[in-house]
Amino acid sequence: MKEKDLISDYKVQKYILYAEKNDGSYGTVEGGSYIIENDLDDFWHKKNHLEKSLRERLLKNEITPIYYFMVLEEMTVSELASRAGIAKCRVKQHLKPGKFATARVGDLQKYAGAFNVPVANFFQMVLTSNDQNSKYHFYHQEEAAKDRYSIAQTATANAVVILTKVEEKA
Amino acid sequence: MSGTQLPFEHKMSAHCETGTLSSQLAFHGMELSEALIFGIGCGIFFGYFNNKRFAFPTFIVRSKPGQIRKNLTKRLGIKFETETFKTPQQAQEKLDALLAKGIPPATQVDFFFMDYLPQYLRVHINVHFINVVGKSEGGDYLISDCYYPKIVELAKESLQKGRFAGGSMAPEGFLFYPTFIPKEFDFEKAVRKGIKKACFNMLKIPIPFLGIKGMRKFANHITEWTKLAIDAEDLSHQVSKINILLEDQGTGGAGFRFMYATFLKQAAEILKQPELVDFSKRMMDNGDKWREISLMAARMGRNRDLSVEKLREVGALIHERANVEERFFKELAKVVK
Repeated sequence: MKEKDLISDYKVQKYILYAEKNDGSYGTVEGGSYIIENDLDDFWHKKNHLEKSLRERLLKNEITPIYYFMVLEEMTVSELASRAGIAKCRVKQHLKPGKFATARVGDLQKYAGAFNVPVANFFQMVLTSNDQNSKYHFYHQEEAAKDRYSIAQTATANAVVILTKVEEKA
Repeated sequence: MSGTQLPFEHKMSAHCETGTLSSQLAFHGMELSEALIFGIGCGIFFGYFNNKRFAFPTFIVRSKPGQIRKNLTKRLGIKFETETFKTPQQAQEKLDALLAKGIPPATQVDFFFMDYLPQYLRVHINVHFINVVGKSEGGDYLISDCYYPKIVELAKESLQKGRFAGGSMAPEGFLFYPTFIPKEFDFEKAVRKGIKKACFNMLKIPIPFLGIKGMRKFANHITEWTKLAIDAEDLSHQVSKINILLEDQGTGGAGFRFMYATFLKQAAEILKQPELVDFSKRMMDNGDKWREISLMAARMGRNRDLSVEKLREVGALIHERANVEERFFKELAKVVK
């Protein structure tokens, strides 16, 4: 790759790339990410679409909250089992709507740690006026900016209780 | 509590592991370029994985994380103190003790918890390396991440979660810093060994999904992706990921091929073998072709142009790369003998 062929006015994400410099030597130049510059909207579109279809299935009780987050985070059962510290066979049980009710609160806390969400979010969907799940971490800044309300969740000393605050934006 | 920041020179670099090593060595008084670290540590590689451990088939373009550091120890005699921990508490105490002593260690984290990066970059990958260079007044940590333009603050909870994320290749609070740097080096021997080992890794590992064999497996298997994807959007996401894995995951472009070309150019001077300049140019051209593949994948993903014929076309281009790289590494192995 030659330095002159590199489009360096990528604004969203800057990277260090290796290329043939204008003086013929090889070394680092500042470049950007093609895919982030051009396809980020498509990425959000796909992610939000996936989230919505999973949400519909979750609301119909076809899948469990654990499955919902697992698919969104692109994890496999064994990866989730290892991250949460729960036996694989138990995780498989918790993916079945009929068996999810057998999960212990302790298990749910472990899952919550692995997905980095509050335990309460396994039992509720905090939707915004744009019909987005604001507590799904791919609820991105552009969408948040369009909302009239801001929704903040703060952890408390009690691991299973979370404060959810809805405030109208100034 | 007052904040402290060690006089650590922050430098952006293409790849996290080599970049972290380079700045760690610079802090201890040794200047070694990222490309040279990558070459001596024989980071260049290829592997295609299609097993239950992954939600979808994936590939790698570099050697196992941590291997570059181990190779540096082996070939240059640089010694690193490394440690993993049983509990987050122990890990944090050790980190604080090192910072108090004036040593900024590098640590392994899950990329997902690096809050200063934009959301779309933050995926669960357990093999990101960062330097911890101090503490802020509020007790949070100051991080020098080579993907970020400046030294940045990271909440201590996030750092702890990142250091103790479970899953495959779990960090377990892993940290390292150099303890001994020899005064003199035999760069010639180290570079020669690095190249030889890279040739071995690419050509001779007797496992059907690693090295050039992995590339061919990838090329053959890519048409099966249509059956494995849940729907068209999932397939589009997976095909776009070819671009991300080759260009965006700290590779310096074209799946480390440009970085390796830069290394070979430096190697030509160190080994006093001008013929390596030609190899370096060939690797640069090879990288350009890889970049064409990744751009094609990005466009296919965006336009939902995902027919089996189109994927076969990508497969054919990857086959071509496999043939070129096979010839390249066979000839390179003869030159550095």
